[in-house]
Amino acid sequence: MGNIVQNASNFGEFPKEFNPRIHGAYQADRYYGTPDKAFSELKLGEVIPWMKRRDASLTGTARFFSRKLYGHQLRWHLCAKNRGVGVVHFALFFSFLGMLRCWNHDRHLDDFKYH
Amino acid sequence: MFRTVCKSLGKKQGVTQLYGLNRLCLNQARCNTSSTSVQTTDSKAPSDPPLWKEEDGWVVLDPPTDSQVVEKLAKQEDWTNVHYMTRPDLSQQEKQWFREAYNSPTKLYPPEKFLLKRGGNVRVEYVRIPVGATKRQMIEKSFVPPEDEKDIAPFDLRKQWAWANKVLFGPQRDMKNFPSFVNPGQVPQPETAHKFVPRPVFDAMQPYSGVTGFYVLTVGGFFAAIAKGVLIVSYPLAYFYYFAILWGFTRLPPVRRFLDNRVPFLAQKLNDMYFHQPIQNKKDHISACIAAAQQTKDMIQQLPKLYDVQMENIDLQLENNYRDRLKEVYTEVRARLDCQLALGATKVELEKEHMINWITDQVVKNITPDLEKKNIQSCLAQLQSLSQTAKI
Repeated sequence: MGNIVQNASNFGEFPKEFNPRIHGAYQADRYYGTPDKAFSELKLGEVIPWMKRRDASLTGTARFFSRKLYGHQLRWHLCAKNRGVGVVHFALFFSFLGMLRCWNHDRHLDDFKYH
Repeated sequence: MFRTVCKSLGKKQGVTQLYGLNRLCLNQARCNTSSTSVQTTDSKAPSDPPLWKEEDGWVVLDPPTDSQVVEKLAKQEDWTNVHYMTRPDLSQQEKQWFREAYNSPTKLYPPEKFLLKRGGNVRVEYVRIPVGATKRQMIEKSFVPPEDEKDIAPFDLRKQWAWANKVLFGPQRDMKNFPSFVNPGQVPQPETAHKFVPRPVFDAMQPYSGVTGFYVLTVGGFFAAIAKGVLIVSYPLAYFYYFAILWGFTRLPPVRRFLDNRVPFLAQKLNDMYFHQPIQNKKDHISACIAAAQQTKDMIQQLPKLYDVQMENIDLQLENNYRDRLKEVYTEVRARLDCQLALGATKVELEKEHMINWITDQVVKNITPDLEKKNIQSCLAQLQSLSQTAKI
């Protein structure tokens, strides 16, 4: 009690690689780790090494999903003229997840024989 | 809980203790005496040497003589078995420390600051924080800002902006790879095909599958999934049909024309109602507050005049009161004086009347018939004389 926090972690704070003097204000949809090739420019064989270079821990995956969600929200929902397209994307994604969840439940409706 | 903890750690819970005669008997039995049943004291029999030396109630140990033992103990860092006298390699300060530690039950040799602790030798800074503080408060209290942030006042926005500019747009800033933040509210929605498919996705398929590739993939994929059994025709799938039907309904020309004409007005109305009007209300309120404040300021500047006016008003009231009282006084005094005057006049008149009446009554009373006759004769004589002298 009364001491500086020992074994300090940066949970809830900016990632350690982020430096405002270099990167400017923090943007939640950007990756501040070591610069690497863009995922869309990778060849098939480079995908797995690329993923191994990335932070795959719990915090790393959480940051990934957070970045993607925030980016999608910024692009499709917080735009000047929002026509509800982001909502539709959201609904479709969760419909797909619901379909996966009900996969086994719906197998009793299968009535095919050969395929 | 103690019992379970001890069991889990494999420790014995405790040793049963004996008391009283049984304890003494047990201790006697544990002592190595020549006769086990009875303890005898014989002056001729040699007594056993004592197990330890006692000095003033303290057990005193002899220092070890073997230097190898001493070195081994010193390497073990078990300083309890080592005496400073056997360590000529220690300096004066170290011997002093040793002496203090030897004589004190709490002090350690070597002193605590030279000991290696578990977790590493971390220098911990203590910060006084009251009991009941949250973790955030503790962190904030113990936070020491860096040197270049210390001169910034907490509520000076200009200094904060200048510091932010210095940090975020300084010489190290990489504008090429990390450009400035773009307000998403200023950016229009990304281009879409059919309002739900991003344009890049739609256009990326064109070189591989032509213009109709997307439609073939979606519709054909839909039926293929049904045929394969991936997508089954069931109750919840109908909800997708409803939305597709409604979407197609809105794309029909009459409906589209109606929406294209009406929807912008509705959107404009909503925007005005929920965005522009609140802002305008706030601006108006602020203007009204500023005008009221300016009016108050002007009124305050006219307050000296108000003071003079009030003083003058009071003076007029006082003057009015004074004049009323003066009038009262005048009327009262005038009345009294008039009364006195009337009284005097009445008195004088009364006396005059009385005197006149008295005199005339006395005179009339004193008139005798002889005097009356003489008076008449004298009057006649005067008349005769007058008539002789008168000229007609």
